[in-house]
Amino acid sequence: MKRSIVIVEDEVNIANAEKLILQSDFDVHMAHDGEEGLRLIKKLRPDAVVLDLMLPKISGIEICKRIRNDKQIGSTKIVMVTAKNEDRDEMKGMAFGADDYIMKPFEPMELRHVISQVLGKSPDAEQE
Amino acid sequence: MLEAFLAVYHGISHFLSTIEGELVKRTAELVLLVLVSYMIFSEHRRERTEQLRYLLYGFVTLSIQKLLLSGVIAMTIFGGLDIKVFLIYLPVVYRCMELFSLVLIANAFLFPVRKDPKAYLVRVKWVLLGVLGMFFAIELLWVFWLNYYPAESAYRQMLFAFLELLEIAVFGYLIGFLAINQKFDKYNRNVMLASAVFLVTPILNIINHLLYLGTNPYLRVLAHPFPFISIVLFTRVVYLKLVDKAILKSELSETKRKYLETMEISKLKDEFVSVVSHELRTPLTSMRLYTSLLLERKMGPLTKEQEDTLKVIGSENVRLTNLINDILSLSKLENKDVKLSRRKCDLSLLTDYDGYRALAEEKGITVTNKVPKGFMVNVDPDKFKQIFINLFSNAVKYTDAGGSVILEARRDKKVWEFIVRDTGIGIKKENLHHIFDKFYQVEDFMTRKEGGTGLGLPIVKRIVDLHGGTIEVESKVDKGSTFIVRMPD
Repeated sequence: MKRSIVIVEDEVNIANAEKLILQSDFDVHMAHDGEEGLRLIKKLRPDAVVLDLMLPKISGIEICKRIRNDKQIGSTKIVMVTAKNEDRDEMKGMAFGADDYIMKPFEPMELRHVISQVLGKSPDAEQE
Repeated sequence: MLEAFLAVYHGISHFLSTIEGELVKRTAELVLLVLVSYMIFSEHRRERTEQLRYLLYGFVTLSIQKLLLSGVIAMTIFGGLDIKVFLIYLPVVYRCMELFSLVLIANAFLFPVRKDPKAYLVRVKWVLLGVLGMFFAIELLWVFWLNYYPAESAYRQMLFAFLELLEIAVFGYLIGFLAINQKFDKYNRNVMLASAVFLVTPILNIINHLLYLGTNPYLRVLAHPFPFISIVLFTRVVYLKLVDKAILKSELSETKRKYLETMEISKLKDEFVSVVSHELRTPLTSMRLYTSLLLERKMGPLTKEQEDTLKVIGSENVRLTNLINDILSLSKLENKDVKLSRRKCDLSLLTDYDGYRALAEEKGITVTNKVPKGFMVNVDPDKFKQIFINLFSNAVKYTDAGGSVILEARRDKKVWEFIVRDTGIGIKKENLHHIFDKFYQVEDFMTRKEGGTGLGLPIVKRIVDLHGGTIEVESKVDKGSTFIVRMPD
């Protein structure tokens, strides 16, 4: 069975592109705002989440915190997507618990690489 | 004419030396002093400084003294009071209060010009206590003398002379201190003038007491106006100071307002740059992702021309992204409160070009890194890395195949240098002083399709400036360029 990924991204074009990039290897689902995203993540319990930082309704950071504080989905791998102008070091020091991050604009290869990195780290993935 | 004037003058002088004249004089002084005291009091309520407190105590004491005196005189004139009853205590109490207030006022003007104000304040308190103690002793002596010696005795005159001498000492010290320490600003000159005017009276009185047993009427009349003039002069100083302070305050608040306004504008600019660059990144991301997906043949096969076209779109996208990053980077660096997080770093690690090796190898350029291992420098590593990346990629960019790029470092006394040397196309002399300008790219460079942003060198310059260093360029067309970053150790 393919592993599943939820993309939470309010920019439809970017979300679709991310889906195109990942759909050959993963079971991809999309949400376009924070609320819908969180609902989808709780319902589907995906292996990984591609999470935009700036989202309507609930921000990416807030979703990240809620995932981490939820026992059932707490171990979900999170990749943050940011267009924020933070320095790389600041992003690395993210206190809100993402596993990795990627800066806009990025190449399809970068997204694939980051996803395989965070999922590769997972012990569940090794068992499969 | 002159005679008429003199007659009037003598008339006034004579009137002022009578007991009624004394009342008029003291009342005028009282009104003036109450006004000044009130002025200082309201200022003191707003701002509690030592100087204002001394001034306030001094002027209030002086006002009470005048009130006491004019009260006694008024009662003598209108109430038929026998002034002789008060003669036992009044002169000494009166003198005591006067001297006490003079010490306070003199100190109020001395205090701000002292080097060690705190220690000085303690000393002033002891001086004031000393004055009080001394007057208590004098009071006892006075009562004793009144009972055992005749009124016009030389002893009593010497006592008065001594009291006058103390007044001279207080203001003499004030003038002397200001003069010796060369504190000749606008206020202090007026303070010195007021003190000097005040001194005339005690000097005349001493002469009168010692030579004429206090009976010379001319000297007494002559001595009359000076304390009054002196009080007017002191009032003027206080007034000047308060007015100047008010003006200064309003100027200060204006400057502060302008400063806040500038800060606001600069903040707005930062926010604007930040928001715009964020908004630009989103469409850029879509464009790049779809271009790449097309190039990956995700949407079907491509002809050679289509592929080349998509590659151009892709590389232009990268160029635009770099431009946005550079604008943002420079905007952050130009921010007034940008901070360096300096630390001891190994320059050879900071200039490790491994990540950029491909860049040079692709073009067939040899890179030699001569920076010795363990060359320790105190810089902000992230920011210095930007210096290195910009200089290095420029060198590679403007050097043709077969050329070379050399990185060097050297240390000399209190400076160290990082040098990037290339055998590239060089920069024309007339363009050399423009290369650190924003968005400046030498024309030849543009035609070579080198997709720079024109912000790399301004960023380098700014970071070098922030470190307190300098950057120099030596260049010869077709021979190459050398960039020397010189930093204080």
